[in-house]
Amino acid sequence: MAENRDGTVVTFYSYKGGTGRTMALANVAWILAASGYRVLVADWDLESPGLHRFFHPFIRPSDLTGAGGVVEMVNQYDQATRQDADRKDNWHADFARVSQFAFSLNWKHFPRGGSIDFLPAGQNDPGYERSVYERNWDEFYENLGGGKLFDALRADMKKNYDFALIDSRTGVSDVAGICTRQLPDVLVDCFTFSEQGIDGAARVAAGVGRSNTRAIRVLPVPMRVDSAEKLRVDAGRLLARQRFSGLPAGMPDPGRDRYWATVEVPYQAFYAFEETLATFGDQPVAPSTMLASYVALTRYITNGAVSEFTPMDEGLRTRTLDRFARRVSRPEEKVVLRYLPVDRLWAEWVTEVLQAADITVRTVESGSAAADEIEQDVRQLTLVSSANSEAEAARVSKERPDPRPPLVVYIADVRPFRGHAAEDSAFLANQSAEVAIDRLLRLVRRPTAEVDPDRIVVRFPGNATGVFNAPIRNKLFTGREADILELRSQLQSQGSSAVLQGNQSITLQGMGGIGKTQVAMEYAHRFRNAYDLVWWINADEVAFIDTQLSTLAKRLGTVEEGTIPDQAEALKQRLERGEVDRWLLVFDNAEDIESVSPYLPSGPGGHVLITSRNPLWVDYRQTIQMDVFQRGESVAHLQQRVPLIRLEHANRIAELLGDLPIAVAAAGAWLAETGAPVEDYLRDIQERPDSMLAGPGNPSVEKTWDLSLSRLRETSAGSYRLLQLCSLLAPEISLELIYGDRMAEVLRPFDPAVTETAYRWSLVHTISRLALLKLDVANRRVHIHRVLQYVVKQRMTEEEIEETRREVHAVLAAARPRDDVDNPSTWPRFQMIWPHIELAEAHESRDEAVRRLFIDRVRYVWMTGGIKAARDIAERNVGRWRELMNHAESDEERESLRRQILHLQFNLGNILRDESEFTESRALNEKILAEQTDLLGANHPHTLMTAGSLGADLRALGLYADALDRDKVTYAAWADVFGEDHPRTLSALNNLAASFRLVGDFRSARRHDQSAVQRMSTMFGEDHPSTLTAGTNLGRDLREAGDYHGSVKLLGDLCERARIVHGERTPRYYIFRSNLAVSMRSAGRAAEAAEVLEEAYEQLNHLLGPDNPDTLASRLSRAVNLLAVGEVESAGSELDEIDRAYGRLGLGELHPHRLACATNRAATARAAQDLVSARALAEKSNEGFSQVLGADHPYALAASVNVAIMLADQDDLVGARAQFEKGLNEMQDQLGPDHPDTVRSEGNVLLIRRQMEGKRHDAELKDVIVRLSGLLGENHQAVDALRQFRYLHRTLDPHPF
Amino acid sequence: MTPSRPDRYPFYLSYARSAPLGADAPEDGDHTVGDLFHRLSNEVRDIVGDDRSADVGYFDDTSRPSENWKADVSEVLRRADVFVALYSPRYFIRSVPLRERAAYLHELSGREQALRLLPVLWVPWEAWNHQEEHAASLTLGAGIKEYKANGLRALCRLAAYESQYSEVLRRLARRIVDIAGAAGPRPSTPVVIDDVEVPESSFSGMRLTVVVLAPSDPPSRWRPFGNRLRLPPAELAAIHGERLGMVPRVADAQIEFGPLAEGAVLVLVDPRIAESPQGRTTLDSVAARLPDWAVVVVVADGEDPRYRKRAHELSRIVNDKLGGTQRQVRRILDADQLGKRMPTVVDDTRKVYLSTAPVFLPKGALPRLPRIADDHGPAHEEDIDG
Repeated sequence: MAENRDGTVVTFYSYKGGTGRTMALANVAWILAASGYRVLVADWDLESPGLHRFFHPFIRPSDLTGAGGVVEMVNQYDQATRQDADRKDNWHADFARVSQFAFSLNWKHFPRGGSIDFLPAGQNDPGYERSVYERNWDEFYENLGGGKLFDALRADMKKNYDFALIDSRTGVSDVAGICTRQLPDVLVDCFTFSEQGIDGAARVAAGVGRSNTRAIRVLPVPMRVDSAEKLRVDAGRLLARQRFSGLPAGMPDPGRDRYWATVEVPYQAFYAFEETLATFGDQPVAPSTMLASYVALTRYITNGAVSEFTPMDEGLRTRTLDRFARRVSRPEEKVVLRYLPVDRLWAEWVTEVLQAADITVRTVESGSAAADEIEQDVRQLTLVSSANSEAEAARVSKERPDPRPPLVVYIADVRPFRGHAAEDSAFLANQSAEVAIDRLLRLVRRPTAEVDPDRIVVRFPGNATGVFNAPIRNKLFTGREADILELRSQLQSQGSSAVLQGNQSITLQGMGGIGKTQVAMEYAHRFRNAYDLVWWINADEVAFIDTQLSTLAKRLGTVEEGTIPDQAEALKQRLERGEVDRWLLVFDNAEDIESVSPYLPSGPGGHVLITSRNPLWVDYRQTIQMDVFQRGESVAHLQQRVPLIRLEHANRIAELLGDLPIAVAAAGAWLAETGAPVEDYLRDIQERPDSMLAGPGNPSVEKTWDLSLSRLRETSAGSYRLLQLCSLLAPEISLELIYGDRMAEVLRPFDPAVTETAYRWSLVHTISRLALLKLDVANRRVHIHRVLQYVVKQRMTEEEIEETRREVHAVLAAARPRDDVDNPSTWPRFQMIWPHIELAEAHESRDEAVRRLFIDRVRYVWMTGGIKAARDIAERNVGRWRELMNHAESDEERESLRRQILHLQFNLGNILRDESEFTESRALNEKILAEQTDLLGANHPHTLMTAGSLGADLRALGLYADALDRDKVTYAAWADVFGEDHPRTLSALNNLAASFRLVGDFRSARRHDQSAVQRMSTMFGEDHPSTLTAGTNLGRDLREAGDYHGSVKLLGDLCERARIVHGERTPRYYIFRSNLAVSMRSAGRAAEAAEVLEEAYEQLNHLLGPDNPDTLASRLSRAVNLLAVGEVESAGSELDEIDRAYGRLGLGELHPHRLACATNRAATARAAQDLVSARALAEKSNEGFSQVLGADHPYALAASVNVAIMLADQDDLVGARAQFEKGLNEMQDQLGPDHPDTVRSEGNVLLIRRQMEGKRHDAELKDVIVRLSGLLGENHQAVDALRQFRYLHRTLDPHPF
Repeated sequence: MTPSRPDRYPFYLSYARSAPLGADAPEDGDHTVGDLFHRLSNEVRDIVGDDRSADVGYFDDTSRPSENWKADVSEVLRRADVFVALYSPRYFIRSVPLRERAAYLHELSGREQALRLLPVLWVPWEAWNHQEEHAASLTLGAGIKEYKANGLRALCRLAAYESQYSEVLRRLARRIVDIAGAAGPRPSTPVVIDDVEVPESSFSGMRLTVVVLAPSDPPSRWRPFGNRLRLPPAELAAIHGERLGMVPRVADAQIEFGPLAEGAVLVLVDPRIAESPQGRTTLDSVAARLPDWAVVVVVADGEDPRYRKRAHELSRIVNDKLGGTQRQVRRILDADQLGKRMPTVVDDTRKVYLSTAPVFLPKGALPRLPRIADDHGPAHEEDIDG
């Protein structure tokens, strides 16, 4: 080996990808080594190395993975520059040693001295991509003296090799600069005959000639010359000769002509499909082959030293060629194309190519639900990029042994799947469009010739965009796939259809921090290769837009004369004339529509993407409204940053941050960066809400709105104040609240014009224009993001917040309807207030009117069925206000609080009663009543309301007479103090009627109820809930009075109204229905009633729970009805169960409800022929009713009749007759002679007489049957029973308390 | 461990590698050593006339990791006649080869040591560093300048040096056989790698100082996750440091400012140290000495109820004392996370240091970065690829 070979360094360069440059290098290397030279090949395409593929039969995988390469050389030197050691001046040369990284190809057949050593780009490990990507070459040269390292490397290559061939990166990147200008002696400048290709290559060649101190010989080489395209080729040759005039230098003209005539690499389809060396693929002596052209090139590189390729043994050649090749099989008709959303551009292009070959393509995004459905008999084709190579490798290998394994298309330089057949794989990365099409079609076994390339409209994604300028890609971008997809679809659809002029643009609109710019950036990067030109313009400062456009004009290399605005205008016109095929301009943060609009080009083939907070763009451009993250997107982002985060934690964080992308991203970054436990972070947010804006080092969230807020403050003090007020409310705020007079009053000091109602709109509009709120016109409300609310609050002092909160309280109190919450017409207005009272801390207010909203709230929640929730609110606020009372500043304030606490407790009493805690509610009400009487006087409405409630407690406890006494007094007081027509008076009247009903005075009950219904209808309207309740009570009274049909009619009508007023899924509706059903049964329609009761009971059970008194009442009526329709056994077990349930509620054995149960159980037992139990139960109920309600109470009378029947059943005819007759007499007194119960009783008396005395009473009996059928109807079961001489027993449906 | 081992191995091949980190971690060996081993084994067999199946040597093949490699290696070292050390810059910064060398030489007499240790220049390094070893390793290749210039590894990998490679191999095999014959079996003293004291690497490379601040335990043995992790955090950090080409050392709070300021600094803190007044004083004193580029990581078992209760408070104290505007104290509270995040933590530690460390350049003017296009447009990323 020579001491110093003084070899030649040759760089193979191409301005564009896909020229065949790497293949040329590999073949030239082989030809040289076959001629006995020591050759180095260096893969300097650091970002996507591919040289090894041409040598794959001669490289062991471990050689590549373990070797290290250019990247490691650079890194080792980098680290060594930090060492302060006493070393020789040129110590860096020790780091520039090819021998430490290179390895030889495994080929024993080169002649003596011949070898090829391979210097890889770098180790293929996960850190690798990052290290290249992050390398700042400017800094490496200027601060670390990197240029010296490469000079030393060049020297090392020259010393140890005869030829060092460098495969350069394409384009004009820094790495390409190093390869073409610093390293080589010879530059092989490869190009194809496209105008752009020739132009770029010629410019690079000219530049090398101009600027280098050392002479670099430039050899321009036309590549992929397709002789089938003779005219184009001739034109290309001519143009190339012109552009490369004088090249190659240093030879006479005839020699140069000869060069151009011989050095030209032809296009041969054979080589398009896989990386095969022509030294094996071509016959060594054949003319016009690729091998021949490489030999010609080698001759010029070696200055004639090598002019032929020595043939090798033919057997060795073909055996080795086999190691490059793959097999072929049947063509595909239909494929399912799987791809990742990030690879969509490739998917679009691949789809078009396959469709052009008449293959049906169904595309599915991997990971989507559709991706999991595998169609039988349809071949899958998967796009593999660095983003999914690992996952797909696992999937593909898992699906073995599949007779038809998926086709795999590698669109990035990733490691091929282990064991995946070569014929089922296609490598498209770093290939030209033509090669890529060839390979793709070969993969699906289709001939290339059948495909019309004009059908492929999408730009080939493997061709990097010509000019690209956008902020660096956010590698942590997640989610937003739907937005990006819509954006892409809209931009594409515009290009193809006849659209209005100036409509080739899309605006992404939304509030700050929502990720508009991020989506635009991701789009620009993901689809960069869909465009020849991508340019990003910061449009927030309109004054600088034209400068940015003129910079673009410069990049395009055609600078017009004139000022910068002229240049910008000229560029716009060029784009509009279609001088650039496909372009994308992004105008980021374009807020000022009028000023920005003139800069927006509208030419064909172009896409304009605008991001803006300004909602008015919707009037000018097609707009995609962006909202906060979907919850799933927030969670996915957090999981990406913090892989071990628990789902519930991620959900919780997302919720606390309102899914605002910028805040979610900041949270994720903070957690990832600090590694802090998520629990700590969540606690932090709750303890110190400022943690949700930024962890240390993430101040960006708050800054998102800095500008907008400052601008708002400057332009409109009123708007700013409004935003401050809104920031203390819930995020969704009704416009009515905002446009109200009280709000205007609060805002007047900041903007006097608010006194004009119409002007208030403009305040909201001003905020909306800065996207600080979202105006929801349809629902008449605004939405302010909770994180923004927090930021606004942050900008206020504690004192300012306190003061603002007071004003907010005033606004809320003023919004309260005048009428009571008992009136449903007030509900829409109350609903507008409810979301805010807790958040605005209205309970802390020192103003009684503000606190009152909580009492309203309790009552509203209770009335609308939220009994448990109402109890919570009531109890919580009783506690809060007691606390407030401890700190009250005046007696007056203390008294006000005491008053409100008592009233709140009164409402709590109602709730306790509804929860069947009758004893507790009675005790509470008695205590409240005493305090209120003392504090407010006996006739204060609060006192009287409590008195009414106490009456209800007594009713509930079965103490009907006590209740009646109390209700009489209470009603009189209401009527006396507030008049007969006051709503509360009427409510008291209702209560009084109930007490009358319960003590059995149905006539008085009916009279009072009728009066109540009439007055309420007049006062509140027919559909008011109180009117309806009074009506349904009247329905009970009618039933008790025997007017069953009238009752059914009334209750049927009321049910219909209740359905409309309360809605179907409400307890009230089903309580009404249950009541109706009882009347239906009484009227002889038990079968119909059964259906109604089934539903009512089921719903009440669901809505109120099984132990609620209303549920139990309905269940009891249902059980009685079961008996009526003959389901005796079910009725019996149900009644037993109901009785136990009443017992569990604390109702004693003598409570009228349980006695009613006993009455009904007696009837059931009798029907089941269990006469002993029947009699015992009947007697028990009879005695009980007599004791509790009095012997003349209708229930006692009914029970007594039932006892008589039992006596008759047991043949005690005398006793039975006496009991029947006694009952009849009392009924005639109590109910009147025409009451159905009286008539039934008459019937029973006649039956026992008939039994004892024979048929002589049959005429009388017939008369009774006629009278009863007149009252109940011909087909009533009681009438039937009488016709069959069966006794008529009575069942009871107890009334609500 | 292979069931039947020969009683005697003529040679043991020692080379730079790091301790295995588990199934998921990328292996960190040198495939070329395998090539050398096979050729060398054949050469030795040729000389001694052995049949082709016998094991004449041993090397720890990282591509086929053993379950219990420390025991395997200790066992083989005890039976190896000659210790062949493949010296390289990495050899002198990695604890595994240094430890096995120390274990082998342990309790051998000076003469025996000189006899049985056979150094090879595997990858060359700057000669002012470890001069003695450098000189010793050159004797094997006397008269072969390619050996001196490139090291044996390059001769093995590059076809052009085939003849030189064969020559060096032949000599190496001959020396092994000669020494084994002359010196006989190694005196059979028990050798366990973990038991040997290894002096701190004196190789002049970029330092990584791993400082452990924990209330108990010697720093290198501090195990916040008990035995759930195979390696103590400090050792794990050191191994990742080695893999990144740094010279690691593990220290405790007593380390002086001078050594502390040499190279990259990673401080691992057990938050329980903040529980005692004495511990808080320690934190203060370390904070006063800590260079700006130090990276601080709190490591604790988040599942440990004792810690969980006070985690927030203790971490905050550590943060207050060791954190700052330039430095965010990181926290790792999960054994699994420790394994996963350590490579990044160590790499970040290296980068922070690199960005602040002074630079010492080769002499002479610096070439400018040559560019194809001089106009680079706006400050954003831009490329005009073709």
